[in-house]
Amino acid sequence: MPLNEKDTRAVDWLMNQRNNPTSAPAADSVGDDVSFSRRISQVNAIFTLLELMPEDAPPAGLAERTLAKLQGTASDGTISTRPAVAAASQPNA
Amino acid sequence: MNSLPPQPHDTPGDGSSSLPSGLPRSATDEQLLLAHRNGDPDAIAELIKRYERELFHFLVRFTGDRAAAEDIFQEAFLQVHQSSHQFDTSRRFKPWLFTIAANKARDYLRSASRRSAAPLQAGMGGEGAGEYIDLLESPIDLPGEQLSDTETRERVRKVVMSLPDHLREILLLSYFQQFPYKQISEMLEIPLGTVKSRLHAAVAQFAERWKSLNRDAG
Repeated sequence: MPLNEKDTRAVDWLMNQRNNPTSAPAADSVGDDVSFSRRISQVNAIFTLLELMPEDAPPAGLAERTLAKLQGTASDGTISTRPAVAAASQPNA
Repeated sequence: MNSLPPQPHDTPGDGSSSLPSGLPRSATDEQLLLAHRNGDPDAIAELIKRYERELFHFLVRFTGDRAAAEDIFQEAFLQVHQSSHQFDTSRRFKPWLFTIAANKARDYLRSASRRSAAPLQAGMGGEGAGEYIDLLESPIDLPGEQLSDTETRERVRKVVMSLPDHLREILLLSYFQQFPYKQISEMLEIPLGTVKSRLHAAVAQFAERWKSLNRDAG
C-alpha cells in the first residue's frame, strides 16, 4: 500500500532537509500544522531505524584486487583492441 | 591507452600530500579521472580507494551478496577505466560511477532471477494504486533502549533486504547515498515522479514490514 498524500509530503520534506541542507526550508516552515509535525516525527522514526542498517566492511584487499584486475585486462591487450564498453549515460551534476 | 600503476602501490592516507605521480591527494574525483585519461598511473588507484567503502556498501545492500558486490565493484571500475575517455569532466564523477554500478547490480539481480515477494511488484501500476497507509493511524515503535542492539540492526537489514529491488535501489540512492531526486532520475533514466513514488512506496513498505516483523517477534 502506498503512503497517503500527507505522509508523502513529510517524506519529501525530510529528504529535502537531509540531502539539500542549504536550500531546504527551515524547520519552522512546518508552521502550526500539528498533524504534519506528527507525520514528520513518524517518518523521522523510520529514518532513525534506517540509520541502524549494518555496514558491511569491504573485504580486505578489494582495492588492490580491483587494480590488479584492471592491470590484467590492460596487459592482455583487451582494452586497447576492443571497442570501449558503452558507458552509462552520464547524469548532470 | 591508459597506463596503470604497478603493484603494490602507495595508498591514500600514507601521510603524503600528493600521489606518486605528483597529483595532489586533494584533487577532485573529476581531476583524477582526467589525469587517468591522460596517463597518470596513480589516479585510478586513488579513485578506487576513495570509493572502496561507499560503493561496496551500496552494492552489498543492493544485491544482498558480498561476493556479487565484490565482482560488480571490480567490473564497475573496469568500465570506468575502459570508458574514461567518454566521461564529461564538467560533470560529476560519483553519479556516473554509481550509475554504472547500479546498472551492473540490476543486471546481476535480473540474471539471478531474484524474485521479490512484494505485492507492489505484482502490477506495475501498484506504486500508486489501492489503499493508502496513514502513518499516524499506526505509528512506528522504536525499540527504545535496545535501539542499537545487534538484533535490532539485523531486523532493519532484514526488512530493507526484503523490499523489492526497484524500491530498495531508490531507498539506497536517495537515503543512504543522499543523491537528490533529480539526480536519481537522470541516473536511472526514469521520470522524477517515479523516483518519488518509488521512495514513498519504499518508506511505506519498510514501515509495514517493520511493524509486521515486530508483531511476529512479540
